[in-house]
Amino acid sequence: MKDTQLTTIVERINQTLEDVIAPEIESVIVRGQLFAVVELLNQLQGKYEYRHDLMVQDIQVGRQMLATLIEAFEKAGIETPEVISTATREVDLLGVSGDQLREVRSGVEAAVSAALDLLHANRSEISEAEKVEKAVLGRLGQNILRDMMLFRRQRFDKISQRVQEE
Amino acid sequence: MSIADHPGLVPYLARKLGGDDLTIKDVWQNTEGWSMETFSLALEYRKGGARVEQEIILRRQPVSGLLEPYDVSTEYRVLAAMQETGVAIPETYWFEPDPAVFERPFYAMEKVEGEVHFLTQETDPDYRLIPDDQEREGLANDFISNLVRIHACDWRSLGLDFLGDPGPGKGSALGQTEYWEAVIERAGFRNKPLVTLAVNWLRENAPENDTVRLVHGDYRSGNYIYKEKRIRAILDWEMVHLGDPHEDLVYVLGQLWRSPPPTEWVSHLLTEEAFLKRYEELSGIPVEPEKMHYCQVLNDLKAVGIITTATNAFAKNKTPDLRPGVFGTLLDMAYAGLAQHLDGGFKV
Repeated sequence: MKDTQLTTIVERINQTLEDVIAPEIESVIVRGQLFAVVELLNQLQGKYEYRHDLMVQDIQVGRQMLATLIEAFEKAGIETPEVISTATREVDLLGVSGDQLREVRSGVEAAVSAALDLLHANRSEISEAEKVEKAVLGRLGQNILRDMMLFRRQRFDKISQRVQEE
Repeated sequence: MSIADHPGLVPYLARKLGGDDLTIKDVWQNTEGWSMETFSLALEYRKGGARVEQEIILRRQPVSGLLEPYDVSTEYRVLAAMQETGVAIPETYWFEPDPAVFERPFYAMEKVEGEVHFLTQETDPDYRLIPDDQEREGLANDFISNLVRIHACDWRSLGLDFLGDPGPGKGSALGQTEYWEAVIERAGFRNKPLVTLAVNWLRENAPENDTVRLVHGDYRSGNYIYKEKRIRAILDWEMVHLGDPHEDLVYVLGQLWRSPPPTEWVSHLLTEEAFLKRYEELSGIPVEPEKMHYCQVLNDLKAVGIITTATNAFAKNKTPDLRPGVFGTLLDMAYAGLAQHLDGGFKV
């Protein structure tokens, strides 16, 4: 879900509230409360974003993975393509918006992914290729654990109930 | 859009069922499943001078969802072909490809009487989805024997080769890896490093499978109808394909449909050891640990594929349904499973 813009998520929620739920509400009072929720969410647009510290951590971990992979390429005499090396360049992570950070993170992830493919294609030439992959997996695992800690218990039974048409 | 928005459906059903004065007395839409749309219709009509009351199921292709792109005809063709195999399935009636009838293609089938387990701890506070041990044992037996029948069926003679024969050797493993990689690519998540690691590992370690079997693809508690201690119908054939039976075994063992500790029964029915032992005895198919591990990683990739598809459908505003968005919040859990099984040392 962290790959979807927060504004998109709120727009989708509001659209469903207005187009699907509001027409089904008969009580004027309850419908008014529902539109109050829509209004509040609308007013928050542009004033919130994903946590910067987590995105910065994702980017930094991604760069560490790239450094490990590039070192393995250099040892094997394999040239690192520009699409991979450019993602290691330092950029100011404090003075940018959340959406810009998401783009930087996405670019770093794509570069790591490309580097892993390069490693896989040259396994026979790279010493300890499996060890490098394990190191990458270990770093990814740490961030996955972090995100799992933020997961709240879901109540699917409240969402999926049998409904009868009138 | 509801049944009432399709006035042409009443004369259509009357024509199909050969009845007069047909009325739809009741409509239930099943929302336990988050994929295909399932409508239960209570009908009343006259036929041959007699008054008939009949309940039927209409299973309609959704606009989008967890397993898109959809083709409801596949499920119908498989169920229709398997009517005489001894697998507990509903009787199929007809397939309707014309979207003018009910907005999207659908098929009609028998409504099988019984209940479906709803897997949630809220309804299972004492961790016993099936409190009656005798009933649990009966369902466990049927659960295994139906799976064995699915894997044993002669898909060629049933005309199921349209599902795509992956061929001998590594075809089963590589075909499924390629399939789910393409699903994740379409959802826009192929560039995730964990996905790349997994796809490369699956390509590198693909096992041989020379006996291609029919694979259900979603075999678990919650996907069958039961009544009086017996399984009456195996449901949800949306992911059916031809491949390695170990895929279904790994799926059955999934943590999401195990009873919580201390029992940890697979699909809330029996222990993992008992399930695998009885499956081997009944099917004659040896359970190979290396293939189980491979299919576990493949299964984790499949989970990533399903969840990212849902996330993409939600983000692209394909339907006014928020449930794919909720499903998308499970992605970290799927990543955790994939990372864990790629590296046995990583535990959540």
